[in-house]
Amino acid sequence: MPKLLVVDDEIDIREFAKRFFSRRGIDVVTAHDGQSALDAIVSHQPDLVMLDIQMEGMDGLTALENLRSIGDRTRVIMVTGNESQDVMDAVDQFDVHAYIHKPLILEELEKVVLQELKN
Amino acid sequence: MSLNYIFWIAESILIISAIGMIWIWFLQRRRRKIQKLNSKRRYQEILRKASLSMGRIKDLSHLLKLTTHVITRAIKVEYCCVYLFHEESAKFVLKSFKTGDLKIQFCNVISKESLVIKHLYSTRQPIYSNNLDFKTITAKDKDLFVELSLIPAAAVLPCFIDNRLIAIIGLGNKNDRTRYSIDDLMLFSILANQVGMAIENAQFYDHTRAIQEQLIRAEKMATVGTMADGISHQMNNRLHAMGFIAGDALDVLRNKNLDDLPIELKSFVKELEFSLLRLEDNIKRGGELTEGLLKYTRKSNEKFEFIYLNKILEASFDMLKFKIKLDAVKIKMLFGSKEIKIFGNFTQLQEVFFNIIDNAYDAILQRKSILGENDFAAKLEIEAVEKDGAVYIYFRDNGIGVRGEHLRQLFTPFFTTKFDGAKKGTGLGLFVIRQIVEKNHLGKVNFTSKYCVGSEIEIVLPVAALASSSQ
Repeated sequence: MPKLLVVDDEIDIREFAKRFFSRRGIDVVTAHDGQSALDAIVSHQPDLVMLDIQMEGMDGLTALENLRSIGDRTRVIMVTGNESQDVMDAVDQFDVHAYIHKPLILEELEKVVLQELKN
Repeated sequence: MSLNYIFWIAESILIISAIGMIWIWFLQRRRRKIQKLNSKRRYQEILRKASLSMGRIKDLSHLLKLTTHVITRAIKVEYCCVYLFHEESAKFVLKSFKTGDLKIQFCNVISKESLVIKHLYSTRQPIYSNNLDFKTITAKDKDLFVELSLIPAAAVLPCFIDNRLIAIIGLGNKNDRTRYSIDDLMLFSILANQVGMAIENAQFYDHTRAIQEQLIRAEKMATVGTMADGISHQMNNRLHAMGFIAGDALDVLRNKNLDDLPIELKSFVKELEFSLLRLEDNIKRGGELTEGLLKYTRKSNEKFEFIYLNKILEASFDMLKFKIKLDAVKIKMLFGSKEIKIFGNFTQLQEVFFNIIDNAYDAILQRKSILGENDFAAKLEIEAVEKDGAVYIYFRDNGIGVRGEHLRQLFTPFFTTKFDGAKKGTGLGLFVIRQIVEKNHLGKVNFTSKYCVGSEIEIVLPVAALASSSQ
């Protein structure tokens, strides 16, 4: 069963993403900030991470930076919400597989996620 | 003897009556003198009181009320009206009047070109219709008095400040039906001067207050701008969550096999599905809105880079659609065939174009409201030309334009000719444009305009020079 890690500080996002992808036979684990995402990646070894940039606690960019610095190549989809160009340039350096722009239409996210999991 | 006696008596009677007549004449003269003195004293008292109270009043409408009150009550004329000069329309506009028991319909505006105003400008003296000798009247005077009767006024007093006629006061006849005297004339001239100074005082106070209000508004806008950044992010997160919830609910409905359901339940599910689709659509559009807001409020990075002119214009129009309705304006872009590249800061130039187009739109609205032409078609033309390492961008509109006397003040902070109540400008637009173009981009802003015809603003950006100097 493919495994997806959803990282977002909004409980609604985590819950509804879980419901949605579970119905598609995907094992969904969730994390509410950057640090718990890093822990979850180590313990669950997901096939794909959906990572929000702006979060309470450790943000998505820092988490991604830490992840890549320990040599972890887990595939990451970044969820962006009108970040400034500087932030986007920084994220770009860390091997991101796809970007999803907030607010999203779930069908579009589904396409991206299924595509990434298939590869 | 008796004859002598009779003569003596007659002589005495004559002498006595002569003395009596002289006495009576003397008494009458004294009475007239006292009357005159009294009326002079009364006038002086009026002047003293009027100048005391007028100097203290800062509120213009209150001041004008007091003026009409003083004139009708203290000087005892039938009625009185005050017209103030309105720069935008170049007309004198009725601002205050007092008619007592009479019912009078005053004309609302008097053109600057009217004979009355021209006469006041050339003589700087009051005009009195009832002091006129109609036997020696000229044709021109006749026209002048026809105009006076149309106001209607028996006399008109000018209020000059330096060479500017800032107000005129119209008067009816004196209540006692006598003609206006030399003393009246003296009094009126002084009073009109006092009123003129007081009006200018009040207008200056109004202007200062308006500038202060604009300062506060500008500061508020800056705060709102900063807040908008945070609020847009939060709004976007809410929309994002809603997108998830709506999308998931839609997914649940779609995964249900509807075939086995009773028909009414089937249509119920279809209705829900439709509603959720509409919800998704609205979330998407809400997202576009927050994105547009963020683009504008975001503190710009100071990066100068090569950018395409049409991209900046697009971004400006994106922002403008939240503020104004450009549908009624015919917009023409003249860029030639190739794409024009500019070296500069995207956000700053976006703000420049935003302000220019916003101004053009306001000018068009003002033309519509002031001139009220039936066949007016609003136009905005944007032209860009590359020449000798610089890009010349022209914005031409056929809005109301700017009067010659205002042109040199245009770039002064807080100067505004936009008068339309709530939409009144901050007077910062052109100031900001000049700062960005001339200080930050080492370019040039030129503004040409003709009142009632339109305006052209030329932006010159020295692309090659700026690019080489920053590398």
